[in-house]
This record gives sequence, structure tokens and C-alpha cells, in this order.
Amino acid sequence: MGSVSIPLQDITRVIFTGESSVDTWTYIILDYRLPKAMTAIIVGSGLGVSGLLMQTFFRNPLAGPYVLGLSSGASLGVALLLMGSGILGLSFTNYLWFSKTAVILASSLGSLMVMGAVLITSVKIKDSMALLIIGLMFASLTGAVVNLLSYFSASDELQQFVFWSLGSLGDLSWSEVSILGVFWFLGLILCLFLIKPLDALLIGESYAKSLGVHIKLLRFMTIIATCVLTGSITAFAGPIAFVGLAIPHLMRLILKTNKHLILLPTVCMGGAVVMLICDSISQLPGVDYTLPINAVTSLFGAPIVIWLILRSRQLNF
Amino acid sequence: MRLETKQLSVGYNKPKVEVASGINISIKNAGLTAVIGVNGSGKSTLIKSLSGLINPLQGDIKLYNRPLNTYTVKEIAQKISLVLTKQRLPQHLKVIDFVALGRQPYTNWIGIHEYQDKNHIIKALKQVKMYEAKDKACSRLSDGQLQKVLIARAIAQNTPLILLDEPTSHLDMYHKAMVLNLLKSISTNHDKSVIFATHEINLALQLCDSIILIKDKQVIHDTPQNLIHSGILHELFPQDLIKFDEKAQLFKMNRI
Repeated sequence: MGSVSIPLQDITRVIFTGESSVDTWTYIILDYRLPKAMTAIIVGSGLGVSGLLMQTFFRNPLAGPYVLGLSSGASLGVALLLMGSGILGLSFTNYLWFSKTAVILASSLGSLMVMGAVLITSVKIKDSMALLIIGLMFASLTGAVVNLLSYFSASDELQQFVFWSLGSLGDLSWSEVSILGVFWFLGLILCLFLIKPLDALLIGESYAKSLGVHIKLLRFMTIIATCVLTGSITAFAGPIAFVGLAIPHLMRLILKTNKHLILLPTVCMGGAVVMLICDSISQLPGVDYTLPINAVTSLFGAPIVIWLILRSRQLNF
Repeated sequence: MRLETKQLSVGYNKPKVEVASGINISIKNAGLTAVIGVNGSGKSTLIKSLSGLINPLQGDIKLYNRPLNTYTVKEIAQKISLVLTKQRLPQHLKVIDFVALGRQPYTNWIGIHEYQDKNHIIKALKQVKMYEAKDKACSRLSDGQLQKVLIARAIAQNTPLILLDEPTSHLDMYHKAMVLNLLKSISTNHDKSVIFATHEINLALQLCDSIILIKDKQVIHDTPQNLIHSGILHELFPQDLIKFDEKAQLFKMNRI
């Protein structure tokens, strides 16, 4: 895999003993490819689970991790940082390390802002559909600001922003992967408590309430879990398209069940596997280029989902 | 007293719309109670208010002699089960999984079914004669079968009160009678107070132990016989098309 080819026995040797015949190979595997694989696992499973939460929560098959407007918030944060600073005449994109951390921070701040706004509206508004529309409106609003910024910014800053928006699983050090892992773990733990009430929500909010589900608390918890998972993933890997929407559908079509006790772990694993496959495709052996991950997830994922829908003729939440 | 209301007024806030007021209902024991009234008279609103889905505008609802608003949602779920009109159900939801949701008020935090939960689910399915179809997807059932499954979920919830919103809509005449007969047998054989909103006045008059009649925002709760003799049924609908025949105890079409 990737632009440097390493023999299989060396890979296993590096993983189990930490040594190999060529020193750079050790470095490539331990500090580049392994963290990348870990990131792929976290991103795939985290986004898949977020998508599952959102589809059940909104009872809508088109919902995905980003319907709350998280990616829009994140992209606004990053756009303000990368392009806004350029317009203001500051150019701290020259400091490589600083800029990477700054992008993560800017993205998190953007997501946090959206999360705050969504939480406030969720407390005030009774209807979940209204939340969906508010999420969409956030996307339009931030999209407009991002467009304005791109219009006025220099081409290299614009390119940097485009690269960010294409998503990337690589470039993360072990310490960054572990920070992301902590958020991922917290998010998934939260999800465990949502399994039972989400099952009740499948048959509608009124039924769920009559079964003893505290709707407001459920809404609050679901939004927080999605924000923790999706927000942290977007901060570290950029907005990864498609996986969050498609994996829950794939799993439902394969397993023919709606029970979250079964779906949650399988979506987790399915998301991780699909993301690892997409990552492998993006850096096929013998090819010098690495494709942007978003292009791969959509190019290869969309036809699969279309095929599945055509086969079963309908898509449900 | 299982369920009691005093000077209850139901409706919606924002904008404030009062649908019915001065409602005094008392459900003492097991039995079958129909809520009847013309379209838009507030039957559904009353059912939703009694089950705690919406808050009443004024007055008290008492569940087992305790105000309803002092109960938590989980406590209500162990006293009242609810069957709503047709809802969109997920494609892959199996009959048995749908009925199993009725056990939610009793299961642990992750929803694992113990032996007695499974027992309740199987008993409920057998009671509505849908046990053989337990592995079918709900989306593939006929309207009549689906209604039975919806009722089975309420039975599995094992509550002393079952409230239903128009369980007979979308059904043919035979299945209407079948559903009402099923409700009657649940109420007599299993000590349950069943309250349901319906347009089937003729069937309700024959079958129910008591009737809640909503007319012009006023609510009367009495036995079918008392209602028939009071003459109020004559005024329920405009008289140009149908009339109440007191002898036959039925609404009939006017001869042309």
C-alpha cells in the first residue's frame, strides 16, 4: 500500500518486534501507516454511528452525521482561520505545526458554536423536524460566508481550504490519534445509553413517550453524542463525506433489522472496515498519488448504495 | 378509582384553542368505554390528554387518585398504554420486535428481555391470534392484522388502562367488529379499563359498558342505555340524512 512498497514479512516484523531490514520502513509503518489505519477505524465507525443516531432521531433516511450543521460550522471555523487571516494580512500558515493545531482548534470551535445553537433550539422547539431545517439553514448561512471568504482570498490559501475540505486520514501523530480516540470512546459510551430509547423512537415520538421515554433528555443526549463523535472527527480529519449516511443503510439492508442493540456494534465495525477499504483504494500499491479520501468514499460508495436501493426498491430509516 | 377528571378542559396552546371543557369522567373498574362525537369534536385530543401526551388547559386528571402531572413518564407507562392511529413504521421492524417494545417500561437500561418479558410478549401475540405471524415485517401486514399487532403491543405493556385512538379506522365492517370484540374480551377477561375513540357509534352502543359523548364542546359520560333514553343521540348529527332509531338502538338512513 502507498507510494513506498514494503514486503509483508517486514510489516509483520515491524508490528510485532518494532524492527525491520530498512529503518525508514519501520518509521513509515509505525509513525505513518498505523496511525492512519487507526484514524480510518475511528472515522468510519464514529461517522457510521452518528449517521445511525441521526437517521433514527429524525426518522429520516436522508439524515447523516452532518444534518445538524456540524461540518458547516467546522468549515466556517477553518475558512475564517485559513482565508480570513490571509485577508487580514496575517500569514501564519507558514508555521506548519502551529497551523495544523490551529486548524483543529478552529474546526472544533466552529462545531461547538453550531452544537450550542442546536442545543438551545432543541430545548425551545418541540418538533424534531424543525431542528433538521435549522441545521440546513446553518449550512446555507455558513456556506455563504465561506463563499465570500473564498472570493476575496488568495489562491494558495483557497487551495489549503479546499485540501482541508477534501478530508484526510493521514498527517495525524500518535498523540493526536489518542486525543481523537478519547472523544470517540466517550461518544460511543454515550450511545450505549441511547440504544433502548432509540428503539422506542423508531415507532414515533408519541409512542416513545407513552413507553416511558423522556423525549427531551433523549434529544439532548443524542445531539451531544453526535456532536462529540462527528465534531471531533471533523476537527482531526476534515469533513468526510458519505460514510455516515451510507453505512447504517448498508447494515440495515444486510441484517434486515432496526434494533439498535444489533445495529450499533455492526455499524461500528462496518464503518471501520469500509473506511479502511476506502483508504486502501486511495493509496493503491504501485501508484505514486494518494487520492483525496472524500473522492474515494463518494466515487466508490455512492454506486454501491444506489445498487442496494435498486435491489430492495426502498430505503427506510 | 383508576382514572378520574374534574372540570377538565382540553385543547392546544399557541394559539390557544379549547376543544372541550367541563369534562367529568370516572373510570372505576375494568370495562369498555367508547369516546364518540362528530369529526373534529376532540376525541383524539381527549385521549392524548388522558394519556399525558399533551397537558390539559385546565382542571385535574387523577390516575389512581393521584394527579397525573405528579407521575414521571415511566410511571405513567406502567399504568397507561396507548394505541395511536396509523403511524409510519420502519420497513424491517418485525411483529415480535414491535410488540416487544411494550416491555420497555420494565426492562433494564439496555433493554434486555427477561423470561417474564418474553412470556408477556408471547401471551399478547397469542391473545390477538398473531403468534404465527410473529416474524413477519409490520410493513407487510394488512390493516386488520396491523391493528391487532398494535393492540398486542399495548397488551404486552401490561397496564390496567389501555387508551386507543380510532382503532377501527381504515378497517372493513367485519374487522371493525373483530377489533371491538377483541377489546371487549380484553376488558372483561383481563381486568382492563379500555377507553377508545371511535366513529362506530352503532357498534359502540351495543358493546360498551360506558360511553363518553362529546357534543358542542360538552362532554357526557354515561351508560349506553341512559344515553339512548336521554334522547341526546337524536341531536348528535344534523337530521337531514340519518336519524337515531330508539327502538332498534341504531342510527339509520332516512328513507327517500
